[in-house]
Amino acid sequence: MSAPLRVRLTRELPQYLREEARADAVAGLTVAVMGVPQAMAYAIIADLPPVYGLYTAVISSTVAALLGSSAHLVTGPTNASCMVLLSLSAPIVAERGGGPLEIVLLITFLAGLVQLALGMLRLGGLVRYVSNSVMVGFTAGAGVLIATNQLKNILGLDIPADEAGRFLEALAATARELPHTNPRELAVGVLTGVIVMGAPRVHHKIPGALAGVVVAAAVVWGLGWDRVTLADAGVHVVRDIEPIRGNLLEMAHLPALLIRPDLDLIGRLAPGALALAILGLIEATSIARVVASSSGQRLGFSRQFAAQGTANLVGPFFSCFVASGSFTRTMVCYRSGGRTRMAAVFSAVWTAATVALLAPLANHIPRSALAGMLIVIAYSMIDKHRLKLTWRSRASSRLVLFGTLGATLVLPLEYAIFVGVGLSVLNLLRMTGKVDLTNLVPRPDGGFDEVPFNRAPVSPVVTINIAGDLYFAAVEDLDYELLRTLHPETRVVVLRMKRLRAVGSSAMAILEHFWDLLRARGIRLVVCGIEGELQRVMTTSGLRSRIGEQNIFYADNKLLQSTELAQARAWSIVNEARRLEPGRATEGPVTYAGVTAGDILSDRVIRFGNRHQVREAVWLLSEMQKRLGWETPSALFLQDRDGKLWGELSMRTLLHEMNRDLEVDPLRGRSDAELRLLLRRPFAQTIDGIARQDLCRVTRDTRLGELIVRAVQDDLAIMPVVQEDGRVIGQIEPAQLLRGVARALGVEQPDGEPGGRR
Amino acid sequence: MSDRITARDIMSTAFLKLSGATPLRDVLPRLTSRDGGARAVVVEGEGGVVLGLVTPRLLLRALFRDGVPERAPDEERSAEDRLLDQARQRLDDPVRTVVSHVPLAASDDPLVRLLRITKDEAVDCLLVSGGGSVKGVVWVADIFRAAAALSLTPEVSRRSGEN
Repeated sequence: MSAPLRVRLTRELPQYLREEARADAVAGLTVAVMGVPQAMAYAIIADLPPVYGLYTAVISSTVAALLGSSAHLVTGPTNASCMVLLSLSAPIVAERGGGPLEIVLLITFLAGLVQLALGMLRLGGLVRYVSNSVMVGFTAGAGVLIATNQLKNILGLDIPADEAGRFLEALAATARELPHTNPRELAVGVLTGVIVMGAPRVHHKIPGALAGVVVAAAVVWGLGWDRVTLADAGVHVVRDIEPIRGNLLEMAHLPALLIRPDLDLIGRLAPGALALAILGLIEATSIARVVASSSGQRLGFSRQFAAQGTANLVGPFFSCFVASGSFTRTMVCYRSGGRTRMAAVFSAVWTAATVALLAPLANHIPRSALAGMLIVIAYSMIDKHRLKLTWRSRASSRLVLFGTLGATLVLPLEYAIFVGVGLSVLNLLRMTGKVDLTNLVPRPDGGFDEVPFNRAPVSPVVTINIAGDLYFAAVEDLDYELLRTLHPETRVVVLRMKRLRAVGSSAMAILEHFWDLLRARGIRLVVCGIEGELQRVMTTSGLRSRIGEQNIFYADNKLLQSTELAQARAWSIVNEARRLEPGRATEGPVTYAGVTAGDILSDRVIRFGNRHQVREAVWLLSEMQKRLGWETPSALFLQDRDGKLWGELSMRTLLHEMNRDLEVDPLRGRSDAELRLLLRRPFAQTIDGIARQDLCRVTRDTRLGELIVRAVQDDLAIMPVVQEDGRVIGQIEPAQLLRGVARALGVEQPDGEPGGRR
Repeated sequence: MSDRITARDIMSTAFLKLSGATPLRDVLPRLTSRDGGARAVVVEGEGGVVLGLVTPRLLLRALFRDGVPERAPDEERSAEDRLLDQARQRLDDPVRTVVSHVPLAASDDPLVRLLRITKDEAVDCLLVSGGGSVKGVVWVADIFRAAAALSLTPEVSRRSGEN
């Protein structure tokens, strides 16, 4: 042992044992209680005896925990990766004969090599470019496949693994064999599923999976269903597949296909192993990231890659199949108080103890019980909420998620991963090829606000900020977006090009085209933020001389200086044009009463901090309703520590959050007591996550016309009125706005007639 | 008798009814009166058939749905003036042209159904019908208040799911 390590151990070990070991041991035990039945069931997915799932939960978990960077990630068998293993191994097994174990161990080793290589090459950051939609779609598809695949086990049917691993074939084979259903297997599977779902509802601390398999094993043993008789086929138990003998030394294994490599076979399995490696890394890092965002830990993705790879390289020599990060076990580890990576090691120790001490009992667990549990897990893999949200979001997100989901059902799973990653990368390229246009609106203090065009006030001068990569892919968008910014009021367009990262000849052609369009409409163009390279391109294209040197402002060291100068130039053009308009002074315009926000605002606002819980916001708004009745504002205005307006939380948003789970649960027959539990679910979350921040803020001086345009354009229910220091002083809702319209139009309340409710 | 909260328990029965032929000029002051004003107007057609509802938000949207009118070649007035001028021209339109569909609920519909409707449809209120006529109006605020009262009562038991 090296001296520094010895010193560190001597200093840190006693401190660890004193302060953290107990918490890690308890968290590890909690993970093991949940993980043991899962590990056995996941092995079944890959068509392997359950004992190999336990070996994987012991060895791979330990190696990945000791070498990884996440303090809470629990590595081991996972449902999705086991499904891919089946998809890869089943055709080879059907072709070569024998069991799947050696094929699976080879795939595991190859996947580990890829993961280790990515870690060593420090390519950990690459997973950031794969969208979460890929994982949601893939996991949902894998869930459907697992459920379909487990139908044979829960019905007690004899279907070859290569048929059961594919969606349509599995359905067809199940339908074909349905008359041979074993009612005892079915009864055991259904019983287990009901317990897995129902036990936590009785008490949240009951581990559903463990309770399910224990009760199922007891029932089968008690009724003697595990014995085959002349009248009835028996229920398959773990012992019938491959007994768990409790001798941990039996896990040591020299993989035959690694000792005598078959290069043809390795070539065939390599693409699948690559897909499995990618899947494992995305799973592990995304789960670790979720926990780290709560724990505040900083993660090293490349180190995590290397740890996962090493676990899968070492695993095959201990009969372990592919391991990855488990979401449920990781969350349980974190929430049970696990503090360091040793919590996952403790979970492995507890699992090993279970194998050593409880093997005779584990052998009585029915296969159909594991299948029943898997079907419940498969259902939970389909993230209905996220699927629905994505369906309502942009077409590109829909394509990535549902394209991946569809691919899992019709293609071999390894290809489905490539399809998902490919769609994700294509989507990313499309997004980076988009030019972002915003409107710069001058503030009274001399600065600028950057606002979307639909929220910008109508003005003769429109200042457009172009940001992004202006290359050939973005040209079409640019042309379209620039035209959308025009308004009948527009007299001068100021283009700020400081944040443009690249300019090509195609883009310059579009700028010229835009200059032509503006000229045809009588609108003048002023450009600013021009850097040296852009200046050269504009000069060579001739655009510089056509725009006119007096209308071009070059980038300066002082932020937005050239923009301010360009604005001044633009207003000078506008004022000059107004002065020269014929008959302007003589033909007096017909104007309406000048109503501003200050005339119609309601100063009855509810201010609230932005770090409270949903429960407190619901309480406050409902209390105000009791006191003020229907005059109560429909939103809370959230303010930061300085009292400045930070965001808005509307009654509708709160109701939506409370409503969120209604569609998941059946409505009929729900008592108010059950409804209460549903409505309370979001109560513990903080409101800053659901509040709206992109508010349409107006000031006392904002004119009625602008208020109307903003309110109607964005269908706003409420507009905060703020003063110069950012504090909210009032609000305008549609009723107040309509009151301003009535005043401006001179439509008064009829004399003597009450306008109130009847 | 059921212990469930129903639409009957939370609906408001005081609301204003107007004929569909009423011009917007007459509807506008009723929705904006300073001494309370109506939160909404139920619009009826011939034979008392309910055509729908008008709220301040719906009326605002109807008056200004086309945005700022284009400036005529010799036009000098500001965008605000053109906007209001356009609204003034619409004041003679009958209110039936701007009514909006409002979801219907029965007076014995439980709170859970009302919650579902507001979740599925972005509406401000629901009409409660019975016997072929409107019995009341349930506002989103009423539903929120009932949901808040129900959920803020002391906890009875605790459940959690397992994946």
